[in-house]
Amino acid sequence: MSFRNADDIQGALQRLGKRLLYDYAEPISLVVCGGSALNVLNIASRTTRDVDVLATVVDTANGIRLLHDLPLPKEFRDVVAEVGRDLGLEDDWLNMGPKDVLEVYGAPPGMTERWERREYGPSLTVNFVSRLDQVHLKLLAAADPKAEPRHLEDLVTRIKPTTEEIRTAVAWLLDRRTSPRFRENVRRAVEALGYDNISNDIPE
Amino acid sequence: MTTSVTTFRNEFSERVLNFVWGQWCQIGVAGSTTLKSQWVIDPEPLLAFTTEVARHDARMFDEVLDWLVTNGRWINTQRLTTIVKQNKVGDMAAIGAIASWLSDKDKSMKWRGLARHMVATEQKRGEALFGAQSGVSAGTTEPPETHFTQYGLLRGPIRSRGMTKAVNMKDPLNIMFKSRAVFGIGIRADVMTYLVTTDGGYARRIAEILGYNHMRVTEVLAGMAEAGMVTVHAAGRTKHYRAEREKWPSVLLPERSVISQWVNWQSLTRGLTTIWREVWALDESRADVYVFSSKMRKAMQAANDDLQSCGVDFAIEDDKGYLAEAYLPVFLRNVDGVMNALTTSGSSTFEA
Repeated sequence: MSFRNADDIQGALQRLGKRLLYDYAEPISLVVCGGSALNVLNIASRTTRDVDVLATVVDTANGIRLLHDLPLPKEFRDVVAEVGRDLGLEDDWLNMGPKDVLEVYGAPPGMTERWERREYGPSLTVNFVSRLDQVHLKLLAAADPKAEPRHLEDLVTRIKPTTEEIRTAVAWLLDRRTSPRFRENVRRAVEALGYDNISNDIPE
Repeated sequence: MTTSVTTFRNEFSERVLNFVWGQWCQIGVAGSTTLKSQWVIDPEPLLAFTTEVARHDARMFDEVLDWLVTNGRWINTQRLTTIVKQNKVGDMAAIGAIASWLSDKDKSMKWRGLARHMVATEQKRGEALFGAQSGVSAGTTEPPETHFTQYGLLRGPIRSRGMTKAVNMKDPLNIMFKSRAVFGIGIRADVMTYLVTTDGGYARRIAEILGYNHMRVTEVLAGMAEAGMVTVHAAGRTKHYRAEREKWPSVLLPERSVISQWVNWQSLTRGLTTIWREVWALDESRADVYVFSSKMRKAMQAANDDLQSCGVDFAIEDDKGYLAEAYLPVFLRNVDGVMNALTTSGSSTFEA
């Protein structure tokens, strides 16, 4: 079963928060992107199968640290699965599917200042990535030739990014050593979005 | 209105305790019960389960001790150990303490051995044996019972009433005891009980249902077949063993008595234990309707296979169609159905 809308997602997260609190689970803070973040932040409304976790968040003396290379704790995943069974969802309805993004590309600059923090009781905090960061991540996903068409659809029909947002996202994607093939893929994605003025600026 | 955790826990516990009490009364515990089931009573799973649930009913606990003094010789302590360890049913510390206390009264080695097995597996620390709702006050001026103290359980002195009767071997419910009296306490007696009260089965399945080693059950069945006590039908690569129903019931049961229904007590007590523990683990001060529902769904999912396969006729609904809190009324209805089935008569098969 899927989440139909933001209420479904919020309902699942609230129940997860209750179960974690009841079970005296270690409090956890997550960064969430994808369709569930689009819904909850009212950027777009569409069904989604899961809640995509980019990383867990740890507050340190030196500031926020995003842990993308550690799996979600087993005890936490067990409670997620139980809540999933309560709601007719898959056991892994909340998962670290997109964790590789941070591993390979890092976070868009300023992402942690832009995200929207929601608390579901004392044991669960979810930081939903902002619209601009969704543009970054969706553009990256859409540039993958093997990616599902929903990423491009999200951009074209739901997020409808501005020129400035696309320009910022492209700058982030190219702000590293990139292959001609990668640049070509980004160019194609930007063209598909109808921003020829930006795609023309992407080097060969 | 939603049933509260406390209301449900109290009602459920009372019904489970009534059910257990009824079983003990049918095998000789002094007491009255309206329950008159027609199931074969299997003493080891019943005793194991009782050691856990009767911690909420001091009177029942002590009447069972009384029963063990009179009828303990019918208990297969080896099987009890296996059941407790494999099925995780019963309270190991309480069983150890009971065995230790019995070894003072019965000089046979079996209670001593059981006491040793249990002390090796679990030791609690100064925990009250009986809960607040067990009918005994928390404070007592009398010295604690030493056998129980050794197992980390605190309770006052045991005063056996000596009211227990010997097991009534003429009662068809007690065919397992009679079979043990005839064949001796061991695999052979219990296999025979199973065969006489059912349509028979395969060695592996019988071993599983009775909680015995598969190879040893196979040996016993092969011996019985060789002696012409049971018939064997090859079904593919397995052998189906069956007792000659015209012959054996007349030996093990009184004339014209109704054969009791076989119930898989191991499955039943495993399933009930799963629910019992989840119910008692609930913190009513912190569990809202969702948490209550969620925990009970988990419990019923874990108990479902055991309850459905125990041989008692009740229905447990598929929870998939009832999301989140909507499951709670379904759970309450299903538990009500289970308890109704357990506290009304089982069905009979045919007359011996």
